[in-house]
Amino acid sequence: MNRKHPRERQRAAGTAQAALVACALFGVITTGADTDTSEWACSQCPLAAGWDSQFDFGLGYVSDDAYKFGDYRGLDDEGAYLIGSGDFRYWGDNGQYWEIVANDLGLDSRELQLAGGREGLYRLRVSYDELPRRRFDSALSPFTREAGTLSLPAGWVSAGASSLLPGLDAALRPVGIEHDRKTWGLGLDFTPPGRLHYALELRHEDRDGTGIRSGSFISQFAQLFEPIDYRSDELDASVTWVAPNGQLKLGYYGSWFANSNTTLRWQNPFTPLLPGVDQGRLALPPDNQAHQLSLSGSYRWAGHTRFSGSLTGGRLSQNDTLTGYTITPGLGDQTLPFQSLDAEVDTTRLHLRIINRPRKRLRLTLDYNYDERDNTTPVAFFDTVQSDLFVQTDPRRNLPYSFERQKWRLHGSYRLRDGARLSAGFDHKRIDRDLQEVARTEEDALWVKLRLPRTFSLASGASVKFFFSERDGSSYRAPEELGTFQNPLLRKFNLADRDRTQAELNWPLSPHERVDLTLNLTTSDDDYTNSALGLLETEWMNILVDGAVRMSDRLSIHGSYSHETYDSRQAGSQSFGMADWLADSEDTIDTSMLGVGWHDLDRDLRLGLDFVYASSESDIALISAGGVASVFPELITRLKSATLFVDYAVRENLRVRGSVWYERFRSDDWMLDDVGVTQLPSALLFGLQSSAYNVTVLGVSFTWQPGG
Amino acid sequence: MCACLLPLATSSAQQEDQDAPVFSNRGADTCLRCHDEDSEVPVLDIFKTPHGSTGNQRAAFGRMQCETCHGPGGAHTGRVRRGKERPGIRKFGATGKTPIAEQNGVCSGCHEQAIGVAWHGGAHESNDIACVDCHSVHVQRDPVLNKKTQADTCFACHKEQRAESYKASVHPLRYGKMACTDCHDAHGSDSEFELTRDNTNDTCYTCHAEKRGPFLWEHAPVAEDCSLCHKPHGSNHPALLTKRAPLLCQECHSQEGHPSVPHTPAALTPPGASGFLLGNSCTNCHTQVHGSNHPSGSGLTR
Repeated sequence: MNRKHPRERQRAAGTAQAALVACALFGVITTGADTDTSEWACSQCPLAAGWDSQFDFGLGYVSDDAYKFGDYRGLDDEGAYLIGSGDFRYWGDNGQYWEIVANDLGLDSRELQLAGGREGLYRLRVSYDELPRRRFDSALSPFTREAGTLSLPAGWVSAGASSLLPGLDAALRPVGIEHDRKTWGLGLDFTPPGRLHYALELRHEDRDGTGIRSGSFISQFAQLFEPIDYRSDELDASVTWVAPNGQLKLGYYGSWFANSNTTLRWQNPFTPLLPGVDQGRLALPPDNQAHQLSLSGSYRWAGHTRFSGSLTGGRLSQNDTLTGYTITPGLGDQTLPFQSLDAEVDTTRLHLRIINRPRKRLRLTLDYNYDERDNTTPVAFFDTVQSDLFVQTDPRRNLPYSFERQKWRLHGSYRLRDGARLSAGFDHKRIDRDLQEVARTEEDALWVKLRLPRTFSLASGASVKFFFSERDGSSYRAPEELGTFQNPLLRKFNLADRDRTQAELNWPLSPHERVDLTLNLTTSDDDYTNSALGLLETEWMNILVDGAVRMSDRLSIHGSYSHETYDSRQAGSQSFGMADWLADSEDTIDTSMLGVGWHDLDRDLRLGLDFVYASSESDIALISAGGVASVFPELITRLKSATLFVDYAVRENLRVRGSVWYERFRSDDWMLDDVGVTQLPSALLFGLQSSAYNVTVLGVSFTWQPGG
Repeated sequence: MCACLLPLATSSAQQEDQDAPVFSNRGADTCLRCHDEDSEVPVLDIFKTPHGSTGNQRAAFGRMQCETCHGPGGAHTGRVRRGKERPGIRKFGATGKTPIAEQNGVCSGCHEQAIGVAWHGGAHESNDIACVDCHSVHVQRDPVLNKKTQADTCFACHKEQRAESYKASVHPLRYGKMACTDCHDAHGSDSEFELTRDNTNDTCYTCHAEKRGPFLWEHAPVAEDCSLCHKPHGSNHPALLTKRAPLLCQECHSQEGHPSVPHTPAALTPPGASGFLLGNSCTNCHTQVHGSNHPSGSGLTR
């Protein structure tokens, strides 16, 4: 990096002082308008000018193919890969700059950003990012996919059961369930002299690959490949006016989603339940748009009152041409009520906040939130065809759900003499819903929190919080449009009466100047007080201990342990009456981390060793009315990871790094394990197995800073 | 013109201004005589950042240099009588004597527009979080501004979410392919959970727009709140679900017939093996769980 000539620095300082007078800052930022800064040459300042760069390059090696290991990371293939990252920056005169930042250029998770501009005036940036999703590497299927059509091999002979399909074994091929996101971004920030700031951001994403769907004919079904060929575009634009006591922002957000495939057709592999039903067709996600216009702002009255708020109006829309009722010829020839839905949802959001300090130590905050979803999609009756097999007896009416959410919050905060803060609050939440069993739910919450100051020796910044809420609502009654299909004793958990109790303890302490510890305990219990069927109760708890020890100036150790449990109980009735079975689900997750770091400043050598062990168990038990429990096999995941790295400065501007990373993952999942393609008589499954891998990644790379 | 807002508390630096503040003799050249790369907190990398640009009249070093943010340093840099303690100067961080509101007022004096309108009264501000608790000013690359390193900064306080990032089904936070700020606005927002958009669903739709609809046949909980079925920070069930099907679905579905039947482990293996448990359970048939635009899709099978 080059240093500026002293005369250049003097000119810069003088210019700066003139700018200060024009800037008219006041308050915390000190202006020094009356201060003579003519000798503030900044001669000792290593001012950035010219270019500066850092490049990381080398080779890595992945020991095994492992889809789940490579998910998101791009490390799913065995073999060598290029380690390539870096950044390049250039500073010019008068605050001009350019920079290029690149990461993981040798992987499918690569990203690149170019940015430049003039500091304090404008910034332009262009970005590119790839995100690989690798879900399953070998889904077995006889289907071949051509855009939105799945076909069976020529000469396919169907049968009534999967094990009796004569051509199945020869036709099965492995296909990866994966997709890739590629995102382009363009951004511009412009702050001309004055009070206005302009921002514009554009994002375009292509998502391509294969997902999972299922196609059914009532008692027969087959897992299908879903074509993922999506395009998403977003635009964020805003102009902000900033004044000494507030700001006002006008913004627009637009989002466009497009799907190259509107339907998925598949050939029925089984003997049709009804003659002639040898194909099925389902609808894929339709093209849609969303637009929002927002106005937000804040204002501070002299001294003690601050106001902020926002108002947003928006519309979601979708108007794809509807496919026919069925692909089965001669069936469902009825005319559709309309050719396209012209679906529209109008959204209105309002947020208001007032903060006031009636006393020096007391602060009161009043919040109001309004969130409306007004679904104005046309309503009609449809002569639906069940699974491409037969026309339903009764027409079905579509249900465009709308709701209105309001939340009032009043909370106060009092600073105690020793710097501790005592806070308490009351929240009232109301949701009005259309076309659902409960027209209105209301929830009242009370909470209190005590936080100690960070300078409190044994419990710096420690806090404890209690929260209690009670939710009830209007009578539980299905509206006419929903029909009477549900058990009248069922209470959907988002509509049901509920008591919620939460407690949180966060206790950081430093028993020694070289030791930092944090203890965190959180619990949350939900009791669905008036529910006879459905979710009855949940209990969630998390205990976390985190610590760091600075053994010496060179050696540090850090570690953490987390134990989380989530238990829930629900009730059902197979007799369509009172509850006659219960289900208990218990999730237990333990996560342990340990890291050792050693830094030899004299030789500029760094060593690091990190271990992670994350395990989970999920236990499910069904309890009959007689109290007999049927226990499912445990669902298990085990992740073990160990990383060792050595980083050494060969020269002032050249470092070499070597790393070894080992990761092992195991899982037991009864939904997948040993479930073959023909496990179910009337279904074709993909034969997916739960993930497991042992992978070692070796890496040798150099970090070079040319021109340092 | 820079924007600035007075912090709610009267600052010690403001009082000092009113009492004719005294600056150092030579600005940064005075400060750097003591504060260099060998000090407890290395400072020189600030010159590789926008703050350290003298060509930018809005930058700290385009104005009063170090004292733009740290306040007048005349007393701190002046002569100190023997036996007397050197007067302090505005110091940033949790353990210093400078009130958090005053520290944050320095940053908001220039960055008010970037911080936005919802900082005051938001979760971080209400819990006395200082700007420097998350942001590093004296380093060339602020870790919290980089997607690859941001999560580590957030996890320093949000330790539960660090543990959740190691669950079997997660968003790619710990892989550096997603940042906490892709969903949350750390400077505060109008929505619950400090989300970047007005509510949970709108936030999810920025990456999952195919779920937005509106569909001909909607699934009510999907339209209302994605978090009724999903846990965005991680889950040990597929697709970030709170619970496995069929039990997840049976929390709300009780119709006569198969929705209300308890499916026991006997349905895992032949001869009783059942699609209600194996494969994708309920979504083996009701594959359009997020909604359908098919005229015959009222049962979410088409």
